[in-house]
Amino acid sequence: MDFEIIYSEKGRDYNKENTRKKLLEIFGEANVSYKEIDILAYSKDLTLITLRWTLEGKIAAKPDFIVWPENAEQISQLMKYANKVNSPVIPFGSGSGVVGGAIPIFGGIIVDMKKMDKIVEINDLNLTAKIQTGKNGMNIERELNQAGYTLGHIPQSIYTSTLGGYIANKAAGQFSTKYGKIEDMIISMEAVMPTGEIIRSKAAPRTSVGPQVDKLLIGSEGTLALITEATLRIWPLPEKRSLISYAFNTIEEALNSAREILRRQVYPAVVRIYDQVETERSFPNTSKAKNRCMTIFICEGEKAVVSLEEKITRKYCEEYRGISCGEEPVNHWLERRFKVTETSIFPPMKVIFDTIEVSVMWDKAAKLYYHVIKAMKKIDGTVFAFGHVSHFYPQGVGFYFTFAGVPGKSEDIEYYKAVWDACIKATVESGGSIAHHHGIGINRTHWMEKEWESVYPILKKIKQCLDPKNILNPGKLYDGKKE
Amino acid sequence: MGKARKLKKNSYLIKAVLKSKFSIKRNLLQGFRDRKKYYSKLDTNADIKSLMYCMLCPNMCRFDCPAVQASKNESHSPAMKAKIGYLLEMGKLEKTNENINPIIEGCVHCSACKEWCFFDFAVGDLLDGVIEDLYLQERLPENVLEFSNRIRNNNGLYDLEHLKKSTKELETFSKGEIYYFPGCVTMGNNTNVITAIKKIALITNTEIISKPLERWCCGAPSIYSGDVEKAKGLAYHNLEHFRSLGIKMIICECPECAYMLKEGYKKIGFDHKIPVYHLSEWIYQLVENKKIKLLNAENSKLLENSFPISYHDPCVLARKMNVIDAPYKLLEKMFPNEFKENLYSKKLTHCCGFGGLVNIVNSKLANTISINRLEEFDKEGIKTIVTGCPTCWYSFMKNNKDLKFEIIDIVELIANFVKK
Repeated sequence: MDFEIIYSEKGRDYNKENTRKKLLEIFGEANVSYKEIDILAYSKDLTLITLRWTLEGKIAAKPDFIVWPENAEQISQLMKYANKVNSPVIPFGSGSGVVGGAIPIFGGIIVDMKKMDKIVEINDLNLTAKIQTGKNGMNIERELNQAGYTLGHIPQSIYTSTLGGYIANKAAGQFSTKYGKIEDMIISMEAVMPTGEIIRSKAAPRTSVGPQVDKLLIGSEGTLALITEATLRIWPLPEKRSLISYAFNTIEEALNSAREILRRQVYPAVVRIYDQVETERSFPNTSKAKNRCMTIFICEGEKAVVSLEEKITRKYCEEYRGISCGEEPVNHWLERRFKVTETSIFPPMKVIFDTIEVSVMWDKAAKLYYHVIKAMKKIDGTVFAFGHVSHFYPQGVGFYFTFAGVPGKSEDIEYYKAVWDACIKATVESGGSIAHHHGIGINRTHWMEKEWESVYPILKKIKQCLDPKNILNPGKLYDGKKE
Repeated sequence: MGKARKLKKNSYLIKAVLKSKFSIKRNLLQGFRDRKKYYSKLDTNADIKSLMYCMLCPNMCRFDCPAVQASKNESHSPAMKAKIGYLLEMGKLEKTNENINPIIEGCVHCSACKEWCFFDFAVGDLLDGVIEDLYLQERLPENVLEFSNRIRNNNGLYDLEHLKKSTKELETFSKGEIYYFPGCVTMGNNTNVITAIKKIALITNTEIISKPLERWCCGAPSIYSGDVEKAKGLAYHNLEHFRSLGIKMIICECPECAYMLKEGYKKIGFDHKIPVYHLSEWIYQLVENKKIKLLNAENSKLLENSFPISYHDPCVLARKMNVIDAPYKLLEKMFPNEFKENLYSKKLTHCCGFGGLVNIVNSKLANTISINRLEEFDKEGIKTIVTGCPTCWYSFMKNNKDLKFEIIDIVELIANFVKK
């Protein structure tokens, strides 16, 4: 195969032949591959710029091996061996990350977790489910639904992502205002540390027993541990679902109405505010929303609670001059929310596009929105930049921006990086945080120091202490491409 | 979508483009013009543009793809299979067995992906053209070529010696305008189904004809192995055979045959007007027209202690032919209290693992998919699995470890519950 490799031609130097033998010994022949076609399949994640590379005959990076563990003990053995020979180890769920987190930029061993994909136990009394992390999100939800429960974690990637990916990237789903983000759902977990120790934390509703090591691993993007199993909180399926939508004249009025609702401790499962451009794109058939900001809500749970939530939600929408648009826009969103056809249509036309999510407190929310949109539009080549507010808290929001443009004479990656950096810079300047739920990966690693400031050296010390040889997913979060 | 709706849907984009400066408009236009370089290729049977669209998708159907759910290997994920097909067609991937294998062993042609696809693609359909091209270029792996040669030599899956028993049974279907087209798998492995059809025909005084030595394979396996020319030859032969007998209707117990005869022949240029039905549809009509009555479970000793009973929808029957109601209504009549629908049913059914050529090139993977499917029934406490496809029946029989389940074809089951 003759592809140009973007990140690393050679990868890290370690004895491949000895490693091959050792991997066969640990995992067995059926669970190890070094076939060229498999290496190609594991050379990327879903970072959107890689779609252009695919069309141009380029690949992001090549792993040396792929292994499929069946238990934590095998991973433990692998980590001990990897430390001996200094080979990178990259955890892999479904490769659905969009910032390069699973790209093996220094080669090494991909650990595909999909053979560990069982729902081990559902405990009705405790309202918990113990699930192996290689399980696909949609299949978790289908099986839980069949048993009468929901995890309530419904990201747009649910069809193509795994529990391990959610935990490693600190993910958030579309229904998170009610059900919480992944970190809110985790009760306990099992993980393999970089030097091979297997840790299993105790399931308890809450503890006061010192710092929680397991919680440190949430959002560590495969750099501090390989998470193999988690006990998560679940909920009985909702009795009632109520669909509400309002169109607001300005994004400020929409934001204010949502803020008022949340400060009264009303938590609709879904709240989404679209700016005028994204409203036109996503709700072209809702005439009342023309030149306005569409806002949709889904309240769900016990009937009486939902009725009350609906009443309060409507009250504050109307207080900010919202125009009721009925259920249809919400049904439209429910039908189209997993439609991502642009990933197929734009790249062949040399249109570079991506989405970037950031978070901010309420008092800076509107300012950040305008600043980011202006900054992205300013980059030469940008055709459009718009946004919606996808996640809500009593203290602030998560924004989700989309941009598209044509690089012209410059390289695709130059334009792509320029817009990304413009967005992140504007976010930092506006007092926001540089990532809400997609994680850091490759795209944001060089912004980590700016994001964390005085905390960053501590974070690096933790990595150095837990993974002294930088075995686990090197090149992410801490020091970029430096080796 | 109408032009006006399309314009309305893209109005945000049109406005953005109109507002942008000249250089951006020029670059957009250039990109639009150049897009075809990624998929324009002459002399190919594959739909390269669709393959490209599929490979650029974030694999939004992967959770329901039985192959990748069984192998856990990204090379079997739907978008990666499309990517392999695309790269092979564009000459960017060497045509080695190792590179070609994932698109053959990794697709059961179940069309589960299509249910979730906003482009309405079934990866298996997209790969058919790639495999046809590889066949014509003589680049397919040896085991696939052996398989297509087997069809060429036998005009079916098996030689005549293997079909002796069924041939004898089928020769009793001697006259009529309804043609029973037996599938190769049934003829080779499950003559009980043929006996059951005979019983139903006798009870209803229906004249049925079948000519086991003159009917050839429907052609579907040839399509899967890229040998479209052979499929055309089989289609031509079979249609001539039906015409020579003055056939007015065809019934099949095999969904693959039924689909091939009904829709597949048109796709390869052999249109015909003879109605084709799966046996469950035909039997349902007999019940509806009061030609037969069905006993319910209380009046039969068959399957005693083997409840609850459930139904496995064959992929081709449920998804490609949309035959869903007939089998369910029949089963609910016979088992009003004992029938339990599986979570993965109707259009959301999961494959038995023996679709496409998976069992030919990677029987281990085919069996894993089959076992996964059986586990879905086991989780629900099912004791008897009914199916309407001889290949599904064969797959489940093969993987029914410790004889955990009763496995029965729907026609055979009905024949035991039928009365005049």
